[in-house]
Amino acid sequence: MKAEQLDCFMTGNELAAEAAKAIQFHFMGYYPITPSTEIAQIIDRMKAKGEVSTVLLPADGEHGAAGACFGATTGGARVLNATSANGFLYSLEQLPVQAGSRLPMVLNLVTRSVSGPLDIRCDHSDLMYALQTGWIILMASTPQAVYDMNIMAVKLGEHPEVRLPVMVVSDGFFTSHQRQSAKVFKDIKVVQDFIGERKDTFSTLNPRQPVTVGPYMNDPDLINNKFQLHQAHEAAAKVYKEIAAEFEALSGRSYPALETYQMEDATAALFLLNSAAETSKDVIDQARVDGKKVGVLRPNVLRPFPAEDLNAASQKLSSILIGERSDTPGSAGGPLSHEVRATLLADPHCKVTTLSRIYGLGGKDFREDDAAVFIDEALSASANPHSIPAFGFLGTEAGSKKNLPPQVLPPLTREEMSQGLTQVEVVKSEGKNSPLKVTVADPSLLVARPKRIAPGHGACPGCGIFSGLDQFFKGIEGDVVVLYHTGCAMVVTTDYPFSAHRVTYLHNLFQNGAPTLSGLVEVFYEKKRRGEIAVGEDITFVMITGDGGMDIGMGPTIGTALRNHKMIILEYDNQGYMNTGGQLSYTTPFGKETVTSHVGKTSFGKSFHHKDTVAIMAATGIPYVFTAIESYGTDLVAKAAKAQWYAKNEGLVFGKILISCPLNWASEEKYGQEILQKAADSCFFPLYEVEHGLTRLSYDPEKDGRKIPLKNWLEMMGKAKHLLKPEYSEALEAFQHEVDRRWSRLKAQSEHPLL
Amino acid sequence: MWIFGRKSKEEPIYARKTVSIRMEAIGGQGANSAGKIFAEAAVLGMGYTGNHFSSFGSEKKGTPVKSFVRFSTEGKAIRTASFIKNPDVLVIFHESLLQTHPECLEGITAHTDLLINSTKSPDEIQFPLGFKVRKFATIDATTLALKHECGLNAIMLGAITKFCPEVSSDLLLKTFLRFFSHLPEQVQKHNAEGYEAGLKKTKEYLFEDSQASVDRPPEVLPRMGWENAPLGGLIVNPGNTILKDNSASRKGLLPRFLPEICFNCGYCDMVCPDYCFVWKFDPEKKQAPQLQGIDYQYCKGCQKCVVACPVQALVTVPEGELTAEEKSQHLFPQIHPKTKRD
Repeated sequence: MKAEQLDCFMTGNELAAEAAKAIQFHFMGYYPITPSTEIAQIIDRMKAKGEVSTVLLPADGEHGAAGACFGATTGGARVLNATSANGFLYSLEQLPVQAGSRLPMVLNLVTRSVSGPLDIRCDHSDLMYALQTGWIILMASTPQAVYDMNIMAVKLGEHPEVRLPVMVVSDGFFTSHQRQSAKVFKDIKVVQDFIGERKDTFSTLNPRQPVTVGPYMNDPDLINNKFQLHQAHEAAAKVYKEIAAEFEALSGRSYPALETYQMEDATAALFLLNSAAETSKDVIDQARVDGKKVGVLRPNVLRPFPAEDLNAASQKLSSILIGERSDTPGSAGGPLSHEVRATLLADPHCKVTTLSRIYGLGGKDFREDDAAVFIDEALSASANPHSIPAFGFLGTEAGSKKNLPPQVLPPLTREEMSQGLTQVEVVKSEGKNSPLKVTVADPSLLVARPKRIAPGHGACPGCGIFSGLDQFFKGIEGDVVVLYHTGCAMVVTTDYPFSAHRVTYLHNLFQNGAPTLSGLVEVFYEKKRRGEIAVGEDITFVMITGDGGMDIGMGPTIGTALRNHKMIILEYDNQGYMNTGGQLSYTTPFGKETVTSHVGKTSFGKSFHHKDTVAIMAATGIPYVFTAIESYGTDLVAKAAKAQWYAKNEGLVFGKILISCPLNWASEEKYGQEILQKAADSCFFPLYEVEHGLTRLSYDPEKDGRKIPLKNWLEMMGKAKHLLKPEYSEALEAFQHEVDRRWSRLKAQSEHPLL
Repeated sequence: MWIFGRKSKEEPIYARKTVSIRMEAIGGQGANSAGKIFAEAAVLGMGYTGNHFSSFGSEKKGTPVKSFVRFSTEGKAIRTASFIKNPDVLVIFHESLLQTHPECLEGITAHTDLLINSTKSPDEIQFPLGFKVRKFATIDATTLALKHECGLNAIMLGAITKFCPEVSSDLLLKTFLRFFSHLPEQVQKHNAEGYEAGLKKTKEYLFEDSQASVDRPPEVLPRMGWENAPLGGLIVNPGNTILKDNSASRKGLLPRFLPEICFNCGYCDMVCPDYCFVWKFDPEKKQAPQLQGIDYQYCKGCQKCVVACPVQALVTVPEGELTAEEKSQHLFPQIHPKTKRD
């Protein structure tokens, strides 16, 4: 019987969250990545309002998120995850573990192009890596389908004959951010009854029935485990049909494993995934009006692959054009083209001509006129199989060889970058004094240092990153090579074909910048040793990362620090994942509101204290560690000069600068520096150095009579000032206590050479 | 040569079965929300079928945003998930986009209604060659938003209703207020006032046959394709962001430089995120650098320098108060001949 439903107007991501609310998952482990992040954000907001009780675990990376999900499923929990692109690939090794261990869960893959170069828009290059994981893959072509398939996914995966994790795949932006009319069940009990209770044969939370999950299994056993996996997919094909029929009775919406649109008498067909198939339907309708016998095939289920349905649907066909948002370079066809061809070949009577077309990579739009091109090509092949190439790209542009990128600015010369504005000399030091004496020109003279970043970058008005980085680079003499982690500073300076970097710049993914730069540093010195680079050449290597890069990349950064390469790692800490829309990072202050730590009935903002990255890095024993803020003085400039000396002479330097983010702190753009000053005055962000293991305060607000309570700092930020309200006094007190504790400890360290 | 469109005698009667709207903006101007609100009013309010969809870069201010709304007044299923190439209504959230992102005018036809946030009146705007629209309007939304202390999108939403009689203006306002109902009452009041202002202050023109006045602004860099793009995504002319123009990121306020007060302390340069300060110095001479002015091509109007300046040689003024001469400072020498500035 059809259940009562409500009309809504929502995006794919909102409907994924809406389904999650109806399912009431026990647990969601996630890590922010565009365009899937919203799902966790919306569920977090629902949780703050008390609408769901799902445990949300903001992991330190997608690998960790997938691990957390795996652990949770062993305890018999209903588990959700959502990711995209490189995040998906970073978690990839966990996915066959989940499937091979036969532990059902749901993952929303909101598709996006895989780096590099880095592209945040939609294609299916991430999805294609999923095909080998053993997961069931459901394809949600509309926002409505995202809702419906999330619900079906739970029931399908948990079916006793199936027992597999399930991916619900929607197109990034095209579906995830597309608002459409949709229907949701009025009463979540309808959904609860449909999916039933989760039944497991074991639980790692039952000590009375101990089990061993994840054995060491070689031959001859593993092949049998994989045969079981194969059987599960065979069963899933059958079970899916039952569940889809049951769901149709409940909702009135039908999701056959292979959707056939206008296929009854078609001689030619397009085989398209997700939103592009929807876009093509109006064009197909028009082609039909024009008397062209053409239709669309669109799988709702990609694993198990609907081979029988495809064979049945292609009996009368002469041609199929398989359009793909992903290529398998070097194989003369996209990955699905090969699957479709192999399926057709299994039918000895099949005489269908297949065309493989790559389109829409990296978010390139698939418009109605593109669909019309595909239709014409398919019809041409249907009339004459050899009239048209079997493989090709749609929508590439040649450009002109005569039209090469013009040089706009000359490279910076070594002379203009080495004016001696900062100077460092080694002095005899005693006790806690620094062995280095740094001389820095006055700010009025430092303006003579050419900027290593050109203006015209796309940062938000008042962004603290670029004033902070400039103050740092004002302290650095000579040639520099920089590496930027993925993050705001990277995205807004290198929007192709533009680059704001006047010095050599490289990017690597979020978690891997430190090892990348360490490789380059070692090659520099080795090439110098071999005489391949002149002895006189001198480069300072600087890695720039946000606080996010120091979460997901903490492990590789610690490893790099322990190896003590001659380089500087500079963290700009804007206290959140601002590049992806302002999610919490581990350095986000206690109680601060972010899109993944909402303030509401059941929550007061971020629930755990800010990470002390500086202490972690100091513990690696590197020669120099510092903190600084943007200021009207030259503290940061001097520390940069010192960092350069250490990076050239001794080894790795870690520096952390606090940066204002007016957008996601909801603070006034013009008060960027003032807010940072209050962070230092309140001792939330103490300014200090650790040089050869000795801690030295650069600024003691207590001694200077300038120490202020945290609230004087927090009140300047829209996302933190709720902590001043009486109902959050306990949280504020806890925060103040922790800051005071860390400050006392730091003072003790600064007073004692052994601490 | 400028030729202006002529005003037609009467307004054609609207009888559209489907309506498509494209909004072109810079992140932070609220085009995404405006699209959402408009579509919500059309679908949930008016009962039309429709969709809304935005395309943006990373979630920041400063990057281009496109917001698309499609709806059908007769219940036709809206299945297309692609960008709107030929919009019935094209809304440009900031006149600077015409220069900085000329592609924002893509796909205009003689059926398009065009609305631009501009200080100019419709007959003062230059258009690319072969330009034709049906109806054209401007609204000084930046100034109005400052005046009413509301978002730019409040003004623009009010103005859009003029082009979409299919959606009731009252209903749109209701949807708009509900959308931001979580915000303080004062903000909602300002939004409502802004919306009304948008409705009233639009300067409209109906075009019988409009014509081009200038060439389409050249793209600052050549189109890169597989024949001319360096392998591996390499950018071989770094520093080329100086060709960009960040003026569309501003909200109507700018710092003004008062050279007679300045004593060249350099604090402004220490805090400016956009590297706008122009200095004159000769490395040979031991003379301290002198501040010449601000390169407004890059200034996004954050006013950090105004706060930093110890002697008030930098003050906040409405953008319109600055003279062309004051705006003429440039940081970098002109190198690329195609991109003459000024």
